Amino acid sequence: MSFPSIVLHELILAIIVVLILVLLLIITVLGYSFYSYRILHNRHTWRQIIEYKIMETIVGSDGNDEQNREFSRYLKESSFRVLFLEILVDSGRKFSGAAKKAIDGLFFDFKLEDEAWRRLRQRKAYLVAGGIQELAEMNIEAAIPEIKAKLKDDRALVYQEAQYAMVTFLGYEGLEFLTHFDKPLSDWQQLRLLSSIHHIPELSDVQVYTWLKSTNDSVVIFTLRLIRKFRLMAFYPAIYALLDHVATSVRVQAIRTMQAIENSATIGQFITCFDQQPIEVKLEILKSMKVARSKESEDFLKKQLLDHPETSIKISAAEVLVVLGEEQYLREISQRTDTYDELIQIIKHALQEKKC
Amino acid sequence: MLEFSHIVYEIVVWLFLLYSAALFIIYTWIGLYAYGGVFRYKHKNAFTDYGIIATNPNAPTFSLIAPAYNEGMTIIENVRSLLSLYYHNLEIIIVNDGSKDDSMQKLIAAYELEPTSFFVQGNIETKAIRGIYKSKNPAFKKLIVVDKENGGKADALNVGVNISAGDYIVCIDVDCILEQDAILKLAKPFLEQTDKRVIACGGVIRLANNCNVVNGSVRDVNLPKSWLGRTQALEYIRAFILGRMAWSRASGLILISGAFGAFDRQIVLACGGYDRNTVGEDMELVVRMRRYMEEQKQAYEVVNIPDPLCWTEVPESKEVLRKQRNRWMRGTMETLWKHRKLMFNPRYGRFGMISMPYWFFFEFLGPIVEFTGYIVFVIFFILGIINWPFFLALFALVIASGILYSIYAILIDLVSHQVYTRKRELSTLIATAVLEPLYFHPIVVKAGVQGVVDYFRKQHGWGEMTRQGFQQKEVNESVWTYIGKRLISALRGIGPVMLVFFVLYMLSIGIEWWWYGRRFAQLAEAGAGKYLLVDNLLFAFQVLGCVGIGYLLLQFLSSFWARILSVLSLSAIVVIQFILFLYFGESRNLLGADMFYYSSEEMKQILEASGMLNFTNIALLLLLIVIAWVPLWMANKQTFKKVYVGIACLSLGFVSCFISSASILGNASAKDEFVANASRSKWRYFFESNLSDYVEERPGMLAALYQDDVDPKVLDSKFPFLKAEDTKDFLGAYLKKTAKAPNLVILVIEGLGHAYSSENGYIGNFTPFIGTLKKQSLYWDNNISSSGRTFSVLPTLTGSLPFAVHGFLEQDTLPDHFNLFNILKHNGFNTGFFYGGHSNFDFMKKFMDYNQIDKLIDQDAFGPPYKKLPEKGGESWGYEDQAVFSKLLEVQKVQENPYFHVLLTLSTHNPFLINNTAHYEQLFEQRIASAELSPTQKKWALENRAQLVSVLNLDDAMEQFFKEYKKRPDFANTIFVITGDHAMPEIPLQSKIDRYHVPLLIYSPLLKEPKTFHNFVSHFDVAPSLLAYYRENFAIKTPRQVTWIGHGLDKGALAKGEGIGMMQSKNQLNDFVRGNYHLSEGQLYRLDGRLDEDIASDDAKEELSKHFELFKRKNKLFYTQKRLLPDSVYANYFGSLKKD
Repeated sequence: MSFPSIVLHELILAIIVVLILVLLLIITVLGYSFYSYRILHNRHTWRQIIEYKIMETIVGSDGNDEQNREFSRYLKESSFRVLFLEILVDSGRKFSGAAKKAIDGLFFDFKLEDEAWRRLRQRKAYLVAGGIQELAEMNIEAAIPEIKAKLKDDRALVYQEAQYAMVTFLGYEGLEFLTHFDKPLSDWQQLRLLSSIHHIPELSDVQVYTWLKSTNDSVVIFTLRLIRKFRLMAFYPAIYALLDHVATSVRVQAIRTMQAIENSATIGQFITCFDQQPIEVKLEILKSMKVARSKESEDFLKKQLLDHPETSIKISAAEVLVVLGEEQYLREISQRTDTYDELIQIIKHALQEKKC
Repeated sequence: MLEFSHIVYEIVVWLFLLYSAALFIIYTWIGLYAYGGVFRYKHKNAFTDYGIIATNPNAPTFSLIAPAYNEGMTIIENVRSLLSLYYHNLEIIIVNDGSKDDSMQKLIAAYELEPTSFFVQGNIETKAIRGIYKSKNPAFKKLIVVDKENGGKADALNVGVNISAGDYIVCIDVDCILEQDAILKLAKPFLEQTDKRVIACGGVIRLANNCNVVNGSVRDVNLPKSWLGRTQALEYIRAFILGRMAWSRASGLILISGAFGAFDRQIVLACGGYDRNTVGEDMELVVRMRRYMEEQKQAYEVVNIPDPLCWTEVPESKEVLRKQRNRWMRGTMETLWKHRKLMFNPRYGRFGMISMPYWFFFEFLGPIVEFTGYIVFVIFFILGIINWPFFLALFALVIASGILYSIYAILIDLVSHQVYTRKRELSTLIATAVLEPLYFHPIVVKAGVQGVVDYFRKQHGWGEMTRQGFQQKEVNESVWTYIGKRLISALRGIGPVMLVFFVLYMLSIGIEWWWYGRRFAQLAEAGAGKYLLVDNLLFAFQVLGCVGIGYLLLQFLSSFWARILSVLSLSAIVVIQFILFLYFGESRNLLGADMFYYSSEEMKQILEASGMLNFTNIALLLLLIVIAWVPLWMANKQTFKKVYVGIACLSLGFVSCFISSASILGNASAKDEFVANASRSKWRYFFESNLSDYVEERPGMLAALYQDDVDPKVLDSKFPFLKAEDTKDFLGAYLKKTAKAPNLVILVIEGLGHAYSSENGYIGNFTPFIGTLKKQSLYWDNNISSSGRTFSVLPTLTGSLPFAVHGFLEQDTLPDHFNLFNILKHNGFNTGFFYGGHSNFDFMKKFMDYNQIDKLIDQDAFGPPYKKLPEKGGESWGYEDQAVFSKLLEVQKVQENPYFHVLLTLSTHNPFLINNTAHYEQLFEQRIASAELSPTQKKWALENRAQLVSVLNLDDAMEQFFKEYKKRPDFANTIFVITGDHAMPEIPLQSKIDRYHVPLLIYSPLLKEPKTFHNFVSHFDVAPSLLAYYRENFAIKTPRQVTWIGHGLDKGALAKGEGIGMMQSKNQLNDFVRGNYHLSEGQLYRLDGRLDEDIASDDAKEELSKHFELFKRKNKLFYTQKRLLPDSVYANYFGSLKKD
């Protein structure tokens, strides 16, 4: 076969066109990479300047006029202001007391509020969320109506941040949205909200009862966690009623909460409902008994150790018996000749026996 | 053979092209999708306070499992690093996998361990545990150390899973360095789950090589020193920042790195833990977990987060790298093989339909395809068939795309504030991206391919596979045993189907022969039956071979689809066989790829007008489909006990590929085209026609394979048909001089062949008026048309134009060119086209629109009292010839300006239905009774009665036309050209050239004297001679440069030129005439003085083939470029004319 002739047909042309596009893209990406590097480099320098400024403010040593002028010059650049805001919000969370007040002062000294408002009114979810965070951190109460409106936003990032901000602003009252909230509240969000509530007003019963009856399981679970955190004894009967709830996760949280606000009837109630519960709830009951250390549960636990078909229940029961000081009883069982090998192993495991 | 090579070449090149295109698209998608994924995560977590779960008792419990084998040198430091992780609810399980060094002793001493009774709750089967240790020191209360017998990494991890008590497990390599907040960041996706359960989560792994590590924590990040390390740094960026982020966002991630990943413990236990028999246990576990969730119909997610959480050492020696990649490839193969059921299985949603196929086609096949590409390149290079511009362009694109992808990954890494943020690192990474394709990539590809080889050579894993959990029903067998069993099962299964097909197909051949016997007596005389039988027998075997092999291969993917497709294709072959032979019986033409060049409208019109589209025929077709489908479907349910029938069918198929029917029986009458065609397998012709058409349609790709025995200088020009206009005025001598340019009317008669329009034809003269006219005209009795169908007559006759691929008018856009219409129009002629049917047919309207003719008269312009041709099946072709002739006289008034019209008739088209049949039947009888016809001619005539009756009708219509025309004053100054577009294929052709043998008459009252010419001329010669006449006698401006294929009627096909090609149908450029030779489908014929032909010796064949090849190359160059002449030539001609 001889050498073919060069035919620049459409396919080659198409490939060359794509190739040119790719080469142009390479140049663009390279250019943008070096531009991004510059931005990043600037941010690094700016971060040092801002952190130094915050440090100065916290320790109360005012910089000289020259430094202040330079800082004000930087502030004219919008990306510097955004970074300053970000670092301030971040720092605001790390400090409390006088240092926090000093940081809050910086927000107002440098009029960063406008920047946060601007972000709140952007369209992109992450910018809105950032704006909410900043306004909440600056404690700008004027923003509450606008942030409250964001509770109804469809985007998780926005409404979650709005929920958190409302709680930050109003504490317990900020949880009002729970009454009509129909989306699942993730564990992460629940932990965030819980961590921001430091006090429960006295007239909160009606609302808490409503939440406990919510069709949204995650709202019920959150409420149980709230009750647990503030040991709200009055809700004990309502929580006990939740042991029949269709969701196992609710029952597990109910057991945990009952234990946290236990009374003299709790162990008896645990024992009574034990057999009707799924394995996850049973294990939670045994865990609660371990914490409760009530002698009332001793016979029940011995029965579970000997008769329950599930190994995990036997192990938990044995561990609770150890906590109740029944080591001797357990040793006796393990030494009996008719005790089967698995039970002996379980008892040894519970006793944390050292092997020689 | 050359055609076969074409196809192989084409398939190979296209497969690589398509693969590259798919890869390009996928990586573009990954790049864009990952960008969104990374930034969404970054924005979402910009102000996240992880502290809320670090010490929160409500946070879930994590069990960190780190298997260790002979890690004595570093284990104390590594465990100390793990103990310092920032998370409260954490237990750390170190599993000593039977280390032979002093790892255990060191751990016991350093962490004050003591053996403890421990009840292992998990039920995953593992090697024996020697002891479980806990620390006496409360500071290390999170630590559990397990000492077990050696069983490999997966076994050690399973022990850890069994012992763990956490909600989630985190599996790491003990030599990895974790970021302090790694567990916090991994925990967040699990805590954020709502409607979908997060079953696994991975983070970004970075390279610890050359980094400064202090107290188990990375303090100063640096790129590795070696290029090998740097390329891996780049590779990790691409994999973790782009690949895994995109797949994570698309819910398609199936790999969480074994070096660092968190899993839902409950699901891991339900799935049976890690598979101990694979080297890719990390990927296998995720695939199995996803499979479990899909089968449980639970919503779930596998998440990757773009935070750099883990640091690991990568190999910086080629040998270790090769081993690692070899292992990865084997792991991938083992997982894909084990879970092959998932592939393209819609039950598993996007996991089965997208993720698994992606891994198969791109992660597994990627290195193999690339390696194959190198081999193919070498082979093509040795054969010298590389199309270098194409190769270089594609190669550059592939390399550039790779570099772009890498640089893009670096950019995303940079702007998402990952770890390499220094300018020097950025530059080094970019340099690495440029060098990587040349330096690193070949090593990885080689290691991957070696992995494939090792996988098959070592029978890895499958011989002794024991499985756990929910997949234990999988069969434990080697891949070869599996393949063998599947093949045997397939051969047994396909046997009954093959037998039934063979019976059905041969039955159809019997019916075909019976059908011909009823209609064509001459076939039995020629003994065509045996040829028909043998050719079809061989074809049936070949079908069995091909479908059988297809079935055997396809059933590895899906048995169900393999069966369905084989039954579908075989029953379709039987049904189409009936359609093909019935078409031949009806039209006496073989059906080939040309059928695909008619639009659906045209096809509908053809079918309706020929009366085929009626209820009975449709019902019969449906019945035929049922008859073909049912037995095959029933056979499909049966299985033979033995494989013999299957093997026999495949073997016959294989052997039949090397046998031709000619080698068994010789050729059926090569001279009599009808007999030869009737003797052929209609299916084979249809298949081969489509195959060659497919090859033909791709000129660029195949340029490399064409024989270059044509002088390249001839094709130097970009415009191979362009030449100086030097046609002599041949007609001027025969026509009287007039002051005014005469009118020109070309009458193109549908299907007017020489055989029945001349007393010398083998059927005799059935056109008495045309016969009379011949005697008053310039008449060429050896004229040939340019095609066997109507599609090329207009461009050839009026423009002497080349064919392009499927006819000049089939081109999407007509390239600039000269023809009688546009030249005469620009010289002041009125132009028009008259046709009784739809002018859209064969794109005639497109041609007329291009020429901006003044009068386009087609079916829509007619109305009462004009009569349509009788309907068949409710559809008529259009208006009868009488109507079309009369319409011309009606529309064209007598005028001062000259005019040029083309009239195309259609009464003589299949199904040959005319009005007033009785009258023409009578004329036919008179013709038969006359003494003018010989007994043989009469016999022929009686066999083709309907066709000839329609010819008599045409002849009569033309006579009336001339009678009326003569009454007009403009008749005296008009030239008439009368010719046929081709011979009727419905009348059996005696020789190959008969298809094109049509009369050519130039009649005019201006003629000085009539004359008959015997030189070979063609339709290509008409336009050049007519224009030369007008130019020389009436100062009409014609272009100086033209693209005529013909040389004028004085020279004709005997001219010293290149010869002329003829297209039998829209996809068959198979005939070529030069001098007195005719080359048809590879057979050379010698033409005698009456255009009869006989097989010629092969002496001149080479010469003629070379010219034919040149003709085709020129035609190809034209249609590849889509330009016939330079813009300047076209513009100058029309521009200068305007100026004049």
